[in-house]
Amino acid sequence: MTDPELPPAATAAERAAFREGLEILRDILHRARAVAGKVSE
Amino acid sequence: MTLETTRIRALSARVAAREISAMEVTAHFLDRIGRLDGSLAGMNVVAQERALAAARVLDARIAAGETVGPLAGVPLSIKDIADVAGLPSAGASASRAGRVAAADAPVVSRMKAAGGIVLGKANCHELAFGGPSFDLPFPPARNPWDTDRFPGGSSSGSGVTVAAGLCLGSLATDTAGSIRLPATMCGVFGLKPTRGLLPLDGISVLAETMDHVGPVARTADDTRILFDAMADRPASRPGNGSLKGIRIGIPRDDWGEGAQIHPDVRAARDAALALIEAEGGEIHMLDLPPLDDFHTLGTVVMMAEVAREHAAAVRANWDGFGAIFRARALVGEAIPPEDYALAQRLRPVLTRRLIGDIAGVDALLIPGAMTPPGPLAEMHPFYFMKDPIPNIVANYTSLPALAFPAGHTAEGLPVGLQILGAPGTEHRLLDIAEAFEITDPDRFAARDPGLA
Repeated sequence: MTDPELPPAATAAERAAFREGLEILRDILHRARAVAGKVSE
Repeated sequence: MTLETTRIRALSARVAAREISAMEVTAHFLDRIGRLDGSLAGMNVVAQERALAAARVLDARIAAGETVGPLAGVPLSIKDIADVAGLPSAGASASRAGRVAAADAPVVSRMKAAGGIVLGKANCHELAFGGPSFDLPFPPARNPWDTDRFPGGSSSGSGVTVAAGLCLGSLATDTAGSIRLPATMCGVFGLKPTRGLLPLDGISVLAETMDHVGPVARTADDTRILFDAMADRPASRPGNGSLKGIRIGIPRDDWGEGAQIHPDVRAARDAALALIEAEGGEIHMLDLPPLDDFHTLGTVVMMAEVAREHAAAVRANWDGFGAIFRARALVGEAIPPEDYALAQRLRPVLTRRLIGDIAGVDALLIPGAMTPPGPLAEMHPFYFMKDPIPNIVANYTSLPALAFPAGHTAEGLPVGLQILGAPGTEHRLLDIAEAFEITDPDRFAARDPGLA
């Protein structure tokens, strides 16, 4: 997963919220990949 | 009974019989909007002159002996991401300020053809995704039961305008629960139909394979009539109002939702189950794929598609969007294509599994939301991603789901449940919710927040 860059106009608070969103997404991707291992297609 | 608590079937019959004019009905609801919406922000656009003109035309047609449709004179709000000819269609976004729709979305034109009167555009999260936000051209909609509380989203104005009696029905959309969450938080009904039953043309795209459109209303029967009109079908008849013989499935072992579910939501579910047993229905414990499997895979699909649809526009026009929309739209850029492909590849597999698992019941009963409405100003910007939510199951699998009221907390805030069924079972779901509503109206009918 490559983290997207925010433009310079983004505020510090916005960057913090974005980083938190990315962390949540990273965890979701990890769990989603684990589903593939237990679900037979 | 006041006009705002009149049922759609009764109101349209009175209008068609010239017992009350569409003009009188329209004027009544426009007056309520004028008096009450200042503190609710349920409407982004009030189309007073157009609504009165449409009502005048309808009354003239009735006076001339024409047969009119099942929504004759019924006041409606339309979510601001759906096009209504001649009205602004900005989706609560500064990025689309000044955009006026040239034509009705087909689903809107069907509601108009059935006699519905569009009062205006309902507030929503920015482009059905960014909210609740305080940096948009419109303030966030507020819950009629407590204006400091979240009314749900993204179809916030649809839930608010119906619950507050500013209209009798609303067109809303649902990509991960955006019809059912505001219905639940505002204490009314919201139907997300089977994907593909209703056309999405003329409605702003959020996530192209997860989007749905459907009705919000005060009763199960009102929801049924609106859905039939949106589907361009004749109005269907109500069910028998009985829970006898109804087979309800519930997930075994709380489906992984146990830690999150609020005691009042759990009590509402327990009350529903007790009612089913008392009325001669059946309860079946089901072994389902984990809720988190649907949540994670559905979120991957949604966030990747949102980024594909909106990220470039956000980067090109940063100040044209609110901060929450910007963050949510860009986060999905981080999803590798192979993960999106995996989530799509597993979609029919999990859908088949779920359809098979619920094949022996009429509906699966799950919470409308895990908690009652929280403080509006304290919503986490990624609240829908943090914890597994039951709503996205129906978007990922395309199955129909209906949210319905299930009582209030001690503080007077609504809680709700939802039922999910096999493809094409919308009317069965509506019949079941109506049976709850009729059998125990104190808990399962929408209440009037009493806004004078």
